[in-house]
Amino acid sequence: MPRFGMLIDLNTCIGCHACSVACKNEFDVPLGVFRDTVKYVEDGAYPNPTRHFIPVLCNHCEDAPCLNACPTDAITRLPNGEVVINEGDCNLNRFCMAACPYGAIYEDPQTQTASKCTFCDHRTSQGEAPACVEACPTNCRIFGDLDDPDSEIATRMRENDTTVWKPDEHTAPRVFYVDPKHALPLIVNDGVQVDKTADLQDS
Amino acid sequence: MLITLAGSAPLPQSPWGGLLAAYFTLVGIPSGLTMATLWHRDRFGATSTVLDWRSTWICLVVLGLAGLLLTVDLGRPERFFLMLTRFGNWDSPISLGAKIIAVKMLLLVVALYLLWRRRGGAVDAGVEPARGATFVLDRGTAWLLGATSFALAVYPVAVLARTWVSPLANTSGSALLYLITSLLMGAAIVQALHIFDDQATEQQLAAHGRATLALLGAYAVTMVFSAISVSNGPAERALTSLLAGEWAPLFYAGVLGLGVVVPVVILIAAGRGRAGRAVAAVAILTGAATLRYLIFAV
Repeated sequence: MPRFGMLIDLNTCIGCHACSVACKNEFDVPLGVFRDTVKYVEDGAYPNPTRHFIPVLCNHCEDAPCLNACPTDAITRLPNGEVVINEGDCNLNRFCMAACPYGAIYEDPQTQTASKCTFCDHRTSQGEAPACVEACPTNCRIFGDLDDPDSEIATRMRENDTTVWKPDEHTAPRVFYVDPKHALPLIVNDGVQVDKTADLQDS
Repeated sequence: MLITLAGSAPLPQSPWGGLLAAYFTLVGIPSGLTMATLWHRDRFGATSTVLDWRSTWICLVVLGLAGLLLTVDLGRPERFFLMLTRFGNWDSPISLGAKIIAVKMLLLVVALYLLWRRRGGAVDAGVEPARGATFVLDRGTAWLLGATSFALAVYPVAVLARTWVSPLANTSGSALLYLITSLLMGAAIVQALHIFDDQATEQQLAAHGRATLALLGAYAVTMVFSAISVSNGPAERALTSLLAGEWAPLFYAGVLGLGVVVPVVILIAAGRGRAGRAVAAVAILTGAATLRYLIFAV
């Protein structure tokens, strides 16, 4: 049985949101919520400002806080490691949302259940790649079997230094990043972070 | 360094709102009240019937309301029973808590029935000592009530500590603070019930006054050591917000002023006067509830 994971190379992400759109299309994700989105962080000051694009999604953690938190056994791990929510068993107590340090679970207003990225288990079970991976124009996302030494993801992980988002949470994510500019720690929890000291004034 | 993050997280806001804040605040009352009542029964068994009867009813009603709050807060309340019927995830403190609430409500019903039988069916009648199997059932129910109450006093911290919503719940003293605030709220309601209890003697009032003062002392000491044990990270930021930020007025006025200083002064100065005990009880309830809310919300 494969152990699926994803590697995201931040060197090549251009922030086009094709992954977000493909995911929305694949799952008919409602307005205002995302299973997969791209955060962007501006770093540095004039004349050397930089913008980092950081795709984020459910990390399908080995030690998933949401799975341990769910009181109704609605969240389960598939044999290939994908963490999925069984809508029929969810009563939307939101404990999983409060437990997930990545904010990856949202409330689906249509089904009144908790929902999140599934690594496209309906596609991967047929041998296909997740929708976001197929849609990425720069191939910055590599999906595959972490345990297969010949897989592209395993090869790329051997060849590059990789990191995970919020390693201090000790959740053992299975979404890895190539992040040579150390952009991941710049993401804050609180959503929109605005620098109030910037000298650009509202006109 | 200029850092601007404009792309928001999929879920940046806390998923829990006012209903759960009320739940985590209120759920301490039946726990503390049961333990305070058991303590009273153990020390003053012959004259505890009125207090027993009234406090058990209050516990049942408040616990029922707390369960109702949990249910109403669900996105799919019609599936609330899944909390009780699913046993696959014992790691989930909220699942365990829901089951303990159900068990405790059942035990409270049994305790009320036993009390009613011992009184011969009349609320104001005297108590007949339990014998044989009834005695065993009575004692067993009391012990189980004590155990479930203790569990329900500390389980909210286990729930909150597993989340990023309440960093203060992830500190060393939070479980003890939830336990002590539960006991304080129970002691306060017992104080209030004694105002309308003709069976309450001077000795009982003095014992309850001393116990409440001791609890308030333990409460203050626990708050100090909990605060100085907080290490760097989200908990430290939350503590700074509590002590010197936007939550500071509520903490100093509600928790310290109303919850500690006012009742200590009244219990020492006003003795066992009815008005004083009533004011002290309200102040303790408000202060303890405020701290529980702050641990949840900050």
